[in-house]
Amino acid sequence: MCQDCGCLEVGAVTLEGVPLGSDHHSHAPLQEHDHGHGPELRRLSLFHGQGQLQEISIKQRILSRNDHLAQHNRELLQKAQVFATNWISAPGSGKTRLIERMLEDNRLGQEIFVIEGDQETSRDRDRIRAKGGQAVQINTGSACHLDAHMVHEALHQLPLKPKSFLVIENVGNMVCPTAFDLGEAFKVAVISCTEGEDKPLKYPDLITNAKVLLINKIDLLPHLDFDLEACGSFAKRINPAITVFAVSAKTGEGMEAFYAWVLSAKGAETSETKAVIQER
Amino acid sequence: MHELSIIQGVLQDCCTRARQEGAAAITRIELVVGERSGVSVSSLEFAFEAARLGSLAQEASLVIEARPALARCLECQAPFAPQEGIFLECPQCGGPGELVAGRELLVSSMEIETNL
Repeated sequence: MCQDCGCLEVGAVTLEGVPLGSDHHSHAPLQEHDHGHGPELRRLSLFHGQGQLQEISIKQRILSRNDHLAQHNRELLQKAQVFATNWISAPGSGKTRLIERMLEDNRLGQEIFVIEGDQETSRDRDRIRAKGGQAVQINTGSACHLDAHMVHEALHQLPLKPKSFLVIENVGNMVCPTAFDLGEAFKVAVISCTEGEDKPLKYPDLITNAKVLLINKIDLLPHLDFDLEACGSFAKRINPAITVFAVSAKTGEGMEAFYAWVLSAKGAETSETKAVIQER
Repeated sequence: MHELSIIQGVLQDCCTRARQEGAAAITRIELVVGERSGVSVSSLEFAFEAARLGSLAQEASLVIEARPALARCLECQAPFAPQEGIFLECPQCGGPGELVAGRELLVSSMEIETNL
């Protein structure tokens, strides 16, 4: 049973089969480094029982620890000139097959590194390696999403190269991974045709947070009642800025347009980063 | 449902802070949760009941302010509440909108008790 579904027993997260410690990270006391938005103290002289009551104003993001580490990952990736994306979908929508297709097609001009996230097994990592890709596997045990700490540890195990791509394949789940920033440039949402065109309506938070939506398995369209246009238009109504591609990881249809878009998004991101560095 | 790990993080941070303040107990924790934050208020409340046991916040109350979603049209600048909570089409001009509120996920404050 998932720790987030009611079971309090924390399952062991592993990276390449080795338990991931939570207290050995050099930045562990994140609450120690204050960036000027630290909590302020407001004293109220209220009395309750035998003690004195005191109100403490905190005004801190609930996921500030994750966000802080995610920002650290982002800076690390930018410094290493690695373009990272965080892939989120329901289980079985074809994320791993899409990444295999990207490795087969080799149209991005640079190496693709992969971090695989699954509750159990290293099957996806093995699939990526079989296609010649470098990959590490995170097993979340009981957790239903990857977090920035897990990804941080995984980053240290990949021999990342300048200008390369990093694909983070999240745990198959359309809800929980959406709330956790990992330090990626943007999130990629995947929906497959077999899931029904109303999927964006049912899981709007993923659509809101993604920059691009891949509607996968379009090779199956002749056999389904799936309304491709409606699916894309639902996504656009929820997130007018989202870019939608209809693709088939199996046949490769539609992938060329996606590759061209990724390359231009990477170019835009790189020049933005340069501008920020120059401003500083 | 990631609310349990989220509330465990909140409790951890609040308890650390409360100990620094020399608190004997945390009596109240206040959160702000946006309608489009991806986090369910009722699941947070449910998870809190289990997660607070044995902590400094064992007797604490959890107060959650739910923030409704609010969008602004990128074309005519009109503010609007997304239709059905999710659609970002401007009801005035039909232009695309962007969310300006509703994704908050904050610990706003807590109340602690210090022994005299």
